Amino acid sequence: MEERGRTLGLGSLMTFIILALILLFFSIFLIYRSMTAYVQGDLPVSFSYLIFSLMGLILSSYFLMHLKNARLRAAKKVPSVFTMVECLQCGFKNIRSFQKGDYVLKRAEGCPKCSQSMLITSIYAEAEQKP
Amino acid sequence: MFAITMLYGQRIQAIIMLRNIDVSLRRLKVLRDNARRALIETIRSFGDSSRDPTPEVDRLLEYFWIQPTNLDPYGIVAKIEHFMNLHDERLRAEVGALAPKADRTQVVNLENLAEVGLALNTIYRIVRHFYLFGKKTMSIFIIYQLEAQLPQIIQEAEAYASGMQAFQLGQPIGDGAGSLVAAKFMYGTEKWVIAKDTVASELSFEGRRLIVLKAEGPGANVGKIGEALTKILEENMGRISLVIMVDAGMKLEGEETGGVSEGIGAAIGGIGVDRFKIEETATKFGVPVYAIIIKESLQDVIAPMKKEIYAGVEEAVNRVRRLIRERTREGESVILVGVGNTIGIGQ
Repeated sequence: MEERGRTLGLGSLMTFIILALILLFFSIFLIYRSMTAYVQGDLPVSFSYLIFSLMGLILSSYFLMHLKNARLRAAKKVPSVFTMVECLQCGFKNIRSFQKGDYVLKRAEGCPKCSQSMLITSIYAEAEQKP
Repeated sequence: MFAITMLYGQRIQAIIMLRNIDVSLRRLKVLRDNARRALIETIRSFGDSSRDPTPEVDRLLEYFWIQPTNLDPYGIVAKIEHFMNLHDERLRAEVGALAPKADRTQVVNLENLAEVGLALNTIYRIVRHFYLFGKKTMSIFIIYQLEAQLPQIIQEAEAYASGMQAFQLGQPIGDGAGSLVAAKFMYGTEKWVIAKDTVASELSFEGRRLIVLKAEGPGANVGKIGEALTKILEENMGRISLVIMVDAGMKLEGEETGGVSEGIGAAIGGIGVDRFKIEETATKFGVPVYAIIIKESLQDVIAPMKKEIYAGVEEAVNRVRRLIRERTREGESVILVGVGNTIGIGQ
């Protein structure tokens, strides 16, 4: 492993997918050839085609599954963090996005109902899927 | 084909495993680089704009501490504590010098961010070492061992990485669940500093005297809980009926995040210095120590606190109240200890 990190770019990813698909179509073609050879009674050729087509199918499925897993890993959940502010006077509650400087049990903005200063009672993360 | 499999099977297997390790190693490198970048950017925002902190950050990321030898284990806890304090103080001082515009809370948060970067850098370097060593020797046993441990290593690295956002912005993390329980009892009472980065408060709960301890928030502190608890027990000459410790505990696969369990013993993680002190003093005075844990995964511990963990905190508060009612009588004294990193949690 080189110190320079290599990342799989979009171009490489497309090449990888195209190669896997070519292999898949070639394997299907070999199955067809195998069946044709079997119908013609050429059993050894039919068997060879079958073996190669199966190997191609296994390889191409492996590559495509690998890509699917990589896609799943890439779609990681990004948590959104919310702040809950409560008015201890009138019980008003508000949930807003976290702002830098917020912390639990900090006196926050004034209550829109009774103008008393509210209290941050919780700051929590909720997972959101990356768009 | 059969001959190739017989002769080169193991080698082919090693190559496939090395390929898998290579993919994971790249992931670790990305995580390490992200942490480094975040640390540089955050330090830059609090530091001298004309000075580039990159060389100092790179030096910090290579920082290490050597654990005392255990050839003669007598007195090793004090030695570990001494060197740990030295490590923390030096890291804090270095970060403080790099970010002169940061206040105390921000310096502590930066120190934790540096710790995350340091941990990720160490993980990356160790995995890379064994990967290159395995590749050089083509030893199947070295490669096997590394590949077998990789899922856990990646999980640990991702746990550290998920904590970066929290340490940058000062958001509460899963580890702070115990601290939050204590903070809920402490709110509105008078607090005093009882040990370094640790606060205490005293209140009355249904006729009982309740002393509450937690790390000082909202900075990323874990405090000196062992020292603080020992001090209170000694000041009260052991006239404490019950100690309740609340901490975040590791959940097993299949268990729910935020679930609460009760038990006996000193619920405190870390290298063991605090646990040793608490066990020592509690045994000396014969004080019962009860533990309540709020379950969460390794990733949840350092990531921003999840909503489910908040539900666990509420449940733990109710369990503390029940334990005090059931296990003590009016007029008795109880100590409640909220253990964990108190980032984003005041008191």
